[in-house]
Amino acid sequence: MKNQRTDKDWQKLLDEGKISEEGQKNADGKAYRLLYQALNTDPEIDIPADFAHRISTQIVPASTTSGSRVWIVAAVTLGLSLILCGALLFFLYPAFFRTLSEYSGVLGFAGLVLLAVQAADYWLIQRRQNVQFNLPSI
Amino acid sequence: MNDEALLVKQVKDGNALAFQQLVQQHQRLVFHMVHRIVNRSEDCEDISQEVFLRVYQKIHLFNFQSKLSTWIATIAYRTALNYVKKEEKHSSTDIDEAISLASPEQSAQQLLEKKAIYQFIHERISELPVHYRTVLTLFHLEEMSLQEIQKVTDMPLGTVKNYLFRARKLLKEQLQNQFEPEEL
Repeated sequence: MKNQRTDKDWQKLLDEGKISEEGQKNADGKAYRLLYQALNTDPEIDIPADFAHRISTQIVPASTTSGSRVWIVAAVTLGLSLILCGALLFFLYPAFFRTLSEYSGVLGFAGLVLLAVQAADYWLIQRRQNVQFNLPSI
Repeated sequence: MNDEALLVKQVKDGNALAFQQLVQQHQRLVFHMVHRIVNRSEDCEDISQEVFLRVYQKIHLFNFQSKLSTWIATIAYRTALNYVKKEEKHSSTDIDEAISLASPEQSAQQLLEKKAIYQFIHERISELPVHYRTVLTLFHLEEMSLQEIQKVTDMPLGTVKNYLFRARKLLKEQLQNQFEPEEL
C-alpha cells in the first residue's frame, strides 16, 4: 500500500533523490519534499567581505629567517666588542681585573641568574611555535 | 602534490596569503556550522574567527587522514559546542521543549510564500537541540556523508542516523501543524 509509507520510507526516498508522483499527492510526501528543499537552502548569513583578509592579518610570525640573521650579527658584534674592551682594559688598567677577581663569587652568581632567565625565555618562546595569536575575547 | 596538500604545506610554512585562501574556501562551512550551533548571529563572526585561528594553530597536526573540510568542521563543531556549553549552562533544551517552542500564533496566511515557509523551517531548526541542528547542517547544507558527520561529531553512526531521522520527522510534524495540507 503506497499510502502507508512511514516517515523512514519518505526520508529514504528523498535521500536517494527518488521523488515520485506519489510524493506530490501524499500529505507526508509533500511536507517532506518541502522540508528537504528548505533544508538544502542556505540560511541568510552575512559573511563580511574582508573576513578572510582580517583573519590572515591576525597571524603574526614571531621570527623570520632574515630577523634571525640580524640577531646573530648583533650577538657576534657585541661579543667581539666585549673581547676588544676586555683586552684594552687588561693592558691599560691591569688593576681593574684584580679588583674584579675579589668579587668573583657575586659576579659568577649574577651571570648564572642572567643565563637562567635567558634560557627560560627561550624555552617559553619555543613553546609558542613561532606564532603569536591575538585571540578575540568571547 | 594536490592543491589541498600544497595549500596546507604553505599554511604550515606560515604563508599568510595561503591561509587567507584557506579561510576563503572554508568560511561558508564554518559560518553555517557556528550559526546553527550557537544560534546567535551577533556571536557568529567572533566564534568563526576563533575557529580559524585554532585551525592555524593546529594545522601542523593535520595529517590528511580525512578531508581538510572535515577536519575544519570538527574544530568548528567543538569550538561552537564549547561556547554553547558555557553560555547555556542553565538552559538545556530537550526535544519536548523544542516542540513546545514552535510558535503556532503565526498566521498561516502570512506564511504562504515559499520563502516564508523556508523561513519558518529555519526558525524551527534553530529551536531544535544542538546535536540535531548540527547533523542537519552537515548533511543537508554541507552535503557530508553520514561517515563524515560521524568523524566531525565523534558520535556513533547509529546516533547520527537517529538524530537526522528524528530531527526531520519533528520538523515535518511542525510544518504539518502550522500549515494546511493544501498550503504545502
